[in-house]
Amino acid sequence: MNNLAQMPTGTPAQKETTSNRLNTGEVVSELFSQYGTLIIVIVLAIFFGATAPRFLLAQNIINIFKQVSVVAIMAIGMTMVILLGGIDLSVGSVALLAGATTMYMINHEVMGTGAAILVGLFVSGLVGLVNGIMVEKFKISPLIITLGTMIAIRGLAQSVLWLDNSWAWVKDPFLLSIANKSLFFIPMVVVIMLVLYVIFYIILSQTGFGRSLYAIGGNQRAAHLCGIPVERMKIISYILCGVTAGLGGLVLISRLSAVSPAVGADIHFDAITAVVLGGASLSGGSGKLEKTLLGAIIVGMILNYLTIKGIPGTLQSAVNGFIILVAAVLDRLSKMKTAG
Amino acid sequence: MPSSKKNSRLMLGNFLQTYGLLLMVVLLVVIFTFLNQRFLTPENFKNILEQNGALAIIAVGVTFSIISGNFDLSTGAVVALAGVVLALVFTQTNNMVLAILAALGTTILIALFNGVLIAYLKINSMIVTLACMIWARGVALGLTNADSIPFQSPFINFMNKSSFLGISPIIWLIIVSYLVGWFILSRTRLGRYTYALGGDIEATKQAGVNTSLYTIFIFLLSAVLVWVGTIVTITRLSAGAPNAVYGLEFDAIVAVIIGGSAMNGGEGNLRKTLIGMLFIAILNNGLSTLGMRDSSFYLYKGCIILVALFFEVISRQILKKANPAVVLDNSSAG
Repeated sequence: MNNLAQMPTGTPAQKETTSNRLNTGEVVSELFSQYGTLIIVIVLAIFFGATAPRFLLAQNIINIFKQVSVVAIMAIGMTMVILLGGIDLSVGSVALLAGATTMYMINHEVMGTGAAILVGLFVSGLVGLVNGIMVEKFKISPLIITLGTMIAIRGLAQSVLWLDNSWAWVKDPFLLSIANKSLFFIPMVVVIMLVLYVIFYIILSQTGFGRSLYAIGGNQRAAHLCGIPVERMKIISYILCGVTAGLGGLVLISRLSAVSPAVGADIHFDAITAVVLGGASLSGGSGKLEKTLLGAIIVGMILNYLTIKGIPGTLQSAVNGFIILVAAVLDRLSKMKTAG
Repeated sequence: MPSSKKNSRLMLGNFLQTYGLLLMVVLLVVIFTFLNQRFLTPENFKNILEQNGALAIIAVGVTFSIISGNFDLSTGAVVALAGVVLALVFTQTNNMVLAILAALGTTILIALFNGVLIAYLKINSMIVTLACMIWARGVALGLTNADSIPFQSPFINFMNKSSFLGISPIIWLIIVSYLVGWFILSRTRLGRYTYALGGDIEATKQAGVNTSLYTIFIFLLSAVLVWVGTIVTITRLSAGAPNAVYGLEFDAIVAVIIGGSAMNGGEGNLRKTLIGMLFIAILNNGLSTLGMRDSSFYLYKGCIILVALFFEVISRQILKKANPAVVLDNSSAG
């Protein structure tokens, strides 16, 4: 819009120089928008490695991936929800609910491990369905709805935990093996995370489902006119977000080897930070899974570096908040540059 | 025939919009009175207002930001941070005036920071204040090492013990906040521009209003109310606590929304906020006096709020269904 308005006022020569400058600017911003997240990861790795030699040790890198795995898994569903212009603050509570129900089923020998995990994931998907229906059918801001379900579902999950005196140990060998076993030196949790990313990457990039998601994100009205069931797709994105939150919760409780009422309390912030750092805009329309993974890794790297440097854990959420701000400001500035 | 049906729908929608929440407040009071004999006493009513004083006062500022089309998710975290700053300054200098001014400085600085990012850099208010909600609470935790800082002061005693015309200072602060808020919203230029900003920001700009400046004014006004809310919170706790008023931002926004102010700005008023605030305050107090566990408290609270939101939306949709015809008639006539 701005460009069009400015064009006629300049002489042809001026026009050429501005368009040339725009081209180089466009190339830079294009490069940055394509590989920006990766560049940040590399720059941070070099800087952290130079100032804290322990940072780049193989053991530490594996540790970072282990620490990142839960948030990264939850960020998969969050990417899809944010891509469609929504947001889901209830993922931390859903993680607790999945953990609590699964452990209840296993500890009380209601059913086997596999079935109990399926029940946990089913319940998580159900919460996503409720979120999606309320957001889409009643047109209430997803922020308000999911803040409400965040509170209510945490209460529900804690009520389930209360049946076990509000604390459940994970004694199931299969769940424990997720946290303890490795596959060719790669911890099982990291393998699970990578496998999930590959599966969802293929779904998003190779299937009609994925293409419709991006079509809706790009232009909702056009997608609707093309016959894509926009409302249903959005509800499905909330269901998937619930399921990945449940998966993240199961990995989390197996890492902690216990379910306590505070599990996953602030984890929705980390998941949102990862997605935003991956370059998705909170107003919808963009979001790439591979970049979300990089975004989660950036958060993990920064927190790991702070721990190595002896900065207290209490300040870590302050750092998280500022990371979101910096990402939002950078996103805004890059858009201003391309706009004029 | 259809027109009478439409009329009855319109009346039903209007009725629900105007009195729906009030009916739910009455229903809540009846239920809680039934469950707990000591609920419906003047003493407990005073208690409800004092317990939720910070919420009541901050909801005034949140009403302004929502009418102007902005979300403010940071209020609870800023109360915690300003409270911690107040407690730290007081324990270091033993000067209450200085401590209270330091808290005011904190809320004003944060409002300026958020306001500039929102008004001049045009970043979505939801993102800016979401980030602020995270970092402000984090800074508060970092400053205190996650402990709370208790302190004693004559000022706290004065706020808790004294009364004027039989009404305690906290309740006076609530009354003054609503009166001043009502005056600014309905009688001043800032109030008119608050509605204009939320209604159509581009049109407002073209009418020659410095929209960015007025957006910042609205955030500053809200900051002053957050400061008053901080003083109320400090009074109740007689400590600065990084974990204080967890979830206050949610309660405040919900109070404004279920009161019936539109989520995307442009309409709303403080009378609606007052009823919404009473609903949340009575819910908080009623549930907590039943002596239930935290988990059940949150479960009931979340579900009841969702029901209230549901009714708000339903009444809005009934109105919308009845109204398009009216809107069409007007446009064809004009």
